Amino acid sequence: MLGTDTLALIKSNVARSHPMERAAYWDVESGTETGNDSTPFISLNDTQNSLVRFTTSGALVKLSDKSHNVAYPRIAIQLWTSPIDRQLAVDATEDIALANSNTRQDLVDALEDLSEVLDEAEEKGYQVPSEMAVSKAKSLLETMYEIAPQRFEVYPMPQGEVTIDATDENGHYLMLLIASDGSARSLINSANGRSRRHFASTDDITTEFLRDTFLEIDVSDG
Amino acid sequence: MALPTSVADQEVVGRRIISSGDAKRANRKKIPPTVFIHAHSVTDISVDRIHSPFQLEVLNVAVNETPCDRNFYGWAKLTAKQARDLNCCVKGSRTCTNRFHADIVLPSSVSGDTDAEIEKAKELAKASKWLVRPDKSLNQMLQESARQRAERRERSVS
Repeated sequence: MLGTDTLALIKSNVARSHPMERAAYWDVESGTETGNDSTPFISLNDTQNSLVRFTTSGALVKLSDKSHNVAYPRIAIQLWTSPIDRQLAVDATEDIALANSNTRQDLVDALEDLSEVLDEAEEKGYQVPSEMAVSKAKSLLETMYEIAPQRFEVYPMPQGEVTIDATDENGHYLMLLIASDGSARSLINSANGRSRRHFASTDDITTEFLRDTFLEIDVSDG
Repeated sequence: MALPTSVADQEVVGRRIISSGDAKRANRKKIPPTVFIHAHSVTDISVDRIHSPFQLEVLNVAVNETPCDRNFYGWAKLTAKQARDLNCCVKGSRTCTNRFHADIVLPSSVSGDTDAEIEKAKELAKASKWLVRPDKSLNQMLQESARQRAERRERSVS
């Protein structure tokens, strides 16, 4: 069984990587896995669904079933850089620490790019994006990181949009172009083909849309 | 040595990178599509024919043609064939100051469609590779650029 120190560390990591979430939000449940191995486990629960489960069988870390992750993608995917339904045979605390350190640096770097986007637009002779576009881009970037912690590219477009670009190694991509009035459009090139979509507001870009697109374009590995 | 007007498939052409942000991205192998997008939605994208026998000469032209408030960092390079495989036309178009000038002409199907231009630029960016200018290190150029930016800010404040 995982010790209380380990559990405290996990909760602390969750709290640190999710400032919006309070560690107190999480309850702890322990029990025994049903099935072949009857492995003891500890899981972190929210008010409705078990999200993550830690067992002692080879320090296996297991995410709960996909339907739970649909409801709570921010938490589950922030903890691990792997696809949401993959089992990781690694030490739970080390993995969380690694995910935190990688995520933070990538996020810091992308936000730094974002902070330079106005200067860059001016330097290039582009229409300069609005403060609102930058603010919306920041919020979107943070949400995207919670789903798939990795380095997203951020740069201005000639017509004054701020672009967030998630491209995988095969060249498949999701590009979000945030306009100065707070609207946005997406350009997607995935294994399923190309698509474009307009959003009256970046608020209409849902977590589900982002997560589904990331799975399509294979950026969820981080 | 004279350059033929037509650009052979195996010839390497390069789009100049004159933004520190784009240079840093290119150095991380993340050339952004904006490198291949003209600020005023023009479908002829200027490039240099940079095959090696002329590289130093091309470098001089690129440096001389770079506006004084910008820096020339290097090229996003690809072969003419790679551009043609993306349905672009590549043609030599020497100017009075640059005999190495050529154009990558985007297909007419994307003309006037901003998103299609972005998508095509993304394809070109994916096909291209970063070639830093051979006479300076990137760090050196970025430091220089940061200093110039700081000076510009000071001037605008005063």
